[in-house]
Amino acid sequence: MTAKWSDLGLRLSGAVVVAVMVVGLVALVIPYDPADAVSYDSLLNPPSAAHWLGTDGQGRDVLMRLVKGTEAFFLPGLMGGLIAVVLGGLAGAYTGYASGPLRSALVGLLQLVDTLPRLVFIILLCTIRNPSIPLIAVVAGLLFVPTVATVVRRKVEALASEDYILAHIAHGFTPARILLHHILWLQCWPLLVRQAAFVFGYVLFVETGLSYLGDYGVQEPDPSWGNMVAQVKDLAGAGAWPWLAPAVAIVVTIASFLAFGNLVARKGEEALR
Amino acid sequence: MSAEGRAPLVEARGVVKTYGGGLFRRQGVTRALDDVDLDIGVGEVVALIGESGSGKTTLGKVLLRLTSVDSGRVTFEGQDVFAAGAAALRQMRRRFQMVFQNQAANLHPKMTVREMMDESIRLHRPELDDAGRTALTSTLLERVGLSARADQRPASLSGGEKRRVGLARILATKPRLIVADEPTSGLDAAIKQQTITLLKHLKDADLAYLLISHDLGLVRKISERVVVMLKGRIIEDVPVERLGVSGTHHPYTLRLMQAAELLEDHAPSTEGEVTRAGAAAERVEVTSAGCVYAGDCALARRLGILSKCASERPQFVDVGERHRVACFGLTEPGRESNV
Ligand SMILES: Nc1ncnc2c1ncn2[C@@H]1O[C@H](COP(=O)(O)OP(=O)(O)O)[C@@H](O)[C@H]1O
Ligand code: SF4
Ligand SMILES: [Mg+2]
Repeated sequence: MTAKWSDLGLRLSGAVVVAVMVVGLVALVIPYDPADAVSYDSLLNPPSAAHWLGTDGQGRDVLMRLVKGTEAFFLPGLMGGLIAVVLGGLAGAYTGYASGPLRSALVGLLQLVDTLPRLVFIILLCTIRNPSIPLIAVVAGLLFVPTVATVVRRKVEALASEDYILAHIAHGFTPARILLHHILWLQCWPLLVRQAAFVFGYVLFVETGLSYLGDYGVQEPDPSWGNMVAQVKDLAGAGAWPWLAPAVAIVVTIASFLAFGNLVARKGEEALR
Repeated sequence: MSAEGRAPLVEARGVVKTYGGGLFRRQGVTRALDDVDLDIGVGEVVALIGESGSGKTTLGKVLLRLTSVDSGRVTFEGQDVFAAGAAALRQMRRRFQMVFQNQAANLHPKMTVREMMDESIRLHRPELDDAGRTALTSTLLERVGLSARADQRPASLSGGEKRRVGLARILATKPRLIVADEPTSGLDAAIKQQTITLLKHLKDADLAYLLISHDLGLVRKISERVVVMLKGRIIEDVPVERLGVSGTHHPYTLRLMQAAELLEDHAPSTEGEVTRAGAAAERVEVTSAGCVYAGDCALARRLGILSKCASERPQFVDVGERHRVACFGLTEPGRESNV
């Protein structure tokens, strides 16, 4: 990709990411009662000034449900990304620097988690416990900890092998400062941004997927982009807006988060080179 | 060994450091330091020479508590280095510093020279405000001749410049001891000369150097005392004026000196040919208790003391003022005609 295209991609995906963040925050404070929203006078209306994206099969405003639907993945996605990056970063720094039985045990545990097929594991978890979306997000974040930890560990080991860490201890820095500030914060941030964005997209994917399937995830009448798309099964061609809008939102949001993470990380890595 | 006539700064006694072994002793143990004693006086410049793998870097690290020891004791300004608690160690680290052999080690790849200086000054001179730090950064960069490079990152600095950044950061701590590990290795002749000049220039009466180097030219130019290591032991400790074929006594030191002179004279001969002559003639089982040079030593064979050399550890003998050698051959009759 040329610089020009990647700049454009960064701007577009960045705009979507910012928009999703803003909408996600706004949705947290808007009151919405799905029962109140039902209106049998305005079933399946096309877009209009009153309903920008029309109404669904129960006369509910599609845009409102789209906005409110972000609640299902917004905080869970942030939480999942944060868990992966924070725990993965710490685990990577620790296993890259320390030695001894605790380190070996942690490396073994990370390897074990890394062998789990993530999606299968989450679906299995659903069939056993039917967990809430936030819990699924926590699990998803944990499942990505080994990925982050491995890359951070390699970075730490590379710097340790050229005596970087020892030289800075000799100079008077504490290992914590060297590992957390010098290595994680200043040198690993592109990787961490990429992984956090990826896990956010992953949580959105899992949430909407489960909610679409219907047995797990967010249940009607509460809105989720996933259960909104699921209306396609009942509408039978009667109207496209109620499921098309969330479907597009899902694809665009996931694609934007992945692209944004990658492009920011690539730019960051170039700048650090 | 003692640094006569000076107050002691560092005293290492009976230091043993082994590497490897691991839980199941799979790799075998390396005795990187085998009962080493070393003193460095206040303001003294001591050179540490010896072939690669002889334990020089390890000794430097041990003095600064950058690695553990199996046994032995190190004091710095009278304080036990390995017994120091976190707070005391933090204070000590300001006073002893190290320039690493790998110059990349000293520098953060993503920070500019100025940022690194600022970070060091924040760490070691917390009393300074922003203006004070900026001023000190300028002063220190000027002292090492890097004023023009303040806004560069390590990637765009030359090898010599990187080392100078390392030195400038170290000077922010006002150290009393700098261990410099091969400070000129990998530099071309002109930069080497600059580095030597800089090290001399930065030296003041209170600052001691432990200079680890293969480079006898550098050693002659700035050190006062030369300590020779071989296989984890110190075998000779000699004033720099006596460094050379005629002034040194240990057969291994002599071998080093002969090789260096041959190189300086551009003679086509190699180190091995000169010194290993006759060494293969007699084979003995050299125990770890014996002299570390016994396997190669022609002197021991000529004097017929090889069995003693191979089984007993030679203690230091004074052979002149501030000059000690660990070799049985020195006290044997007939020594002068040899080597
Ligand atoms: N981290 C380490 N792990 C295992 N062995 C080491 C390590 N560092 C040094 N050694 C070994 O200890 C001995 C002394 O090494 P070193 O102090 O680096 O010697 P020098 O600096 O004189 O070349 C060598 O045999 C070396 O292989
Ligand atoms: S002690 Fe013996 S083996 Fe060692 S250097 Fe002296 S003469 Fe040679
Ligand atoms: Mg070395």
